[in-house]
Amino acid sequence: MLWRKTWWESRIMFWLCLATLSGLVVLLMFNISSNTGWVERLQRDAGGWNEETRQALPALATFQGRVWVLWFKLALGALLPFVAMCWATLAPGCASPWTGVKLDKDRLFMLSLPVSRREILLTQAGMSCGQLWLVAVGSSLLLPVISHWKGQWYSIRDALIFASLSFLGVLVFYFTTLLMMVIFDNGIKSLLLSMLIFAIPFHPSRVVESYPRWHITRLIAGEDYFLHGQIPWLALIVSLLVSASLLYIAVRVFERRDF
Amino acid sequence: MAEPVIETRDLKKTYKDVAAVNGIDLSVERGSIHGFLGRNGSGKTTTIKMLLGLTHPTSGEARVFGLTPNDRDEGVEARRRIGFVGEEKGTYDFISVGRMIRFTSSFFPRWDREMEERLLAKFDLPLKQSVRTLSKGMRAKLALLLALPRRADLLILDEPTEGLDPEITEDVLQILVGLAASGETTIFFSSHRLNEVEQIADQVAIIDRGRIAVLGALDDLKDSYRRVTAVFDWEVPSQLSSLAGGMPVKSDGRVLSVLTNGGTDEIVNRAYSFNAVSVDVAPVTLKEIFIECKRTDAE
Repeated sequence: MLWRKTWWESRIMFWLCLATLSGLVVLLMFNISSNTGWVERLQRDAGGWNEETRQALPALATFQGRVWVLWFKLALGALLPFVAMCWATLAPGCASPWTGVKLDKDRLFMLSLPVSRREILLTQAGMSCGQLWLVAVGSSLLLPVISHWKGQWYSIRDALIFASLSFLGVLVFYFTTLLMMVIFDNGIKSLLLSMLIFAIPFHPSRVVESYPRWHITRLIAGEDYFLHGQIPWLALIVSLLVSASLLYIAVRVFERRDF
Repeated sequence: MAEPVIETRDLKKTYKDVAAVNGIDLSVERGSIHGFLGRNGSGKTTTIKMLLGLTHPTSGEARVFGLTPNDRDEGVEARRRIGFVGEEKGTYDFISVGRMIRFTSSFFPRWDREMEERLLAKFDLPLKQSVRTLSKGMRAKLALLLALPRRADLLILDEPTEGLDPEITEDVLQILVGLAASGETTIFFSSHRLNEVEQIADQVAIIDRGRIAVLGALDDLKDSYRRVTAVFDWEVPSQLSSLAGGMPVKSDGRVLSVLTNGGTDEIVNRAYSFNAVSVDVAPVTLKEIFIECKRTDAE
């Protein structure tokens, strides 16, 4: 029942995000014009790029390459971390959004039920992660559907893998904000602090050129999979370990808090 | 002797330099109706939160059914046996009344469907209406409906009748008395409506500035406290200002009034020794004791 309640309170956010990202996919796919200008631009700018990107020029010049850059690297890569951070601040099961006042009474009711704080937080995190994955995958699966409709081809497998990599990469953003929320109990402060932690060192400034290996955007954009056809296991494991650590700390802080 | 349902020892909670609760010793027996009184900010809600495991004590100990509420596993076990109505009547705005009931009942295997239906009819709560649109009174009814059918061993109620009309209030009080009369349910409730406390409580604790100011069986308290009113021919003699051994004396011209807690005969004799025309000794209400406790503390 805790899962159902968590779904009830987050369903509007879920449908809103899914609709927004799906709408963006539709807009993007119906505005991808001919490949000519895209290839010309790649050839023009290639001189300034690193070796890894230059070697990927043939792949980037394809329809699949263009879709990857525009959706997974630029649109989803920039939006999904922000969505994840907002999600952590808006989920009201454990910590109240924005001011810490409005939902205080709801929170007391929840905490007075025979359920542990750990279970409350883990249920909320689990539900948010599931919804984030569905938003990333659901919107990205429109790529092969619309491609097929437009007489092009885009792999369902690739869409699933890229979307899942994006989702797994942004978990660090989600759990960082969740930790901030259980510490500060203030949505705006938590969001700003999380953005500060990620915005400066991980500013996504590159359109086509690949990011260095330590850069989280490289994982979120699925660059290793696009450029080399490899799942970045090491980056994934490191990212998931950091996420798990953040969740562990968040649970410990939440269990010790006074309400 | 049976283990108390609630037991606290030197329970303290300090926020920065402010002591919200400052060494409370309480013992609530099974099957009793325990009124927990105090003015706003006296530490009632903080104490209740510590009993529910929502707030961690700074020092001291709180036990409910012998369990420690702020221990993760013991807290869950204790809350499984508690029905709670918070001062804010917290529920979820984003779902309907019916869903709210289903959600809450899912945590309590002993949920009393019959009582739920009876209360639904009595409270006239529309199942399909969103909680967001309920009035304050309807929210109070919903909060009670979510607490009473749990077949809880302990009901912790913070201002349970606030927002209810007199008729429903009376019904709720009767339900509480009925539950306690079964001997299975203990009721620990706070209220500013002292007449309600007086109506149903058998034990009373008055908390002031984080400390217990008065504690005991309501009947014993009412027996031990007396209002002594002495009338003089002239102004009340100034020597009588410390008449009650610490209890504040009210004098208005020729009339002196004092609330005593023991030593009534001595006060009566002293008043006569100063040529009082008449001395009247009368029983007091809980409200008088409550107000006098606050006045004593303030002075």
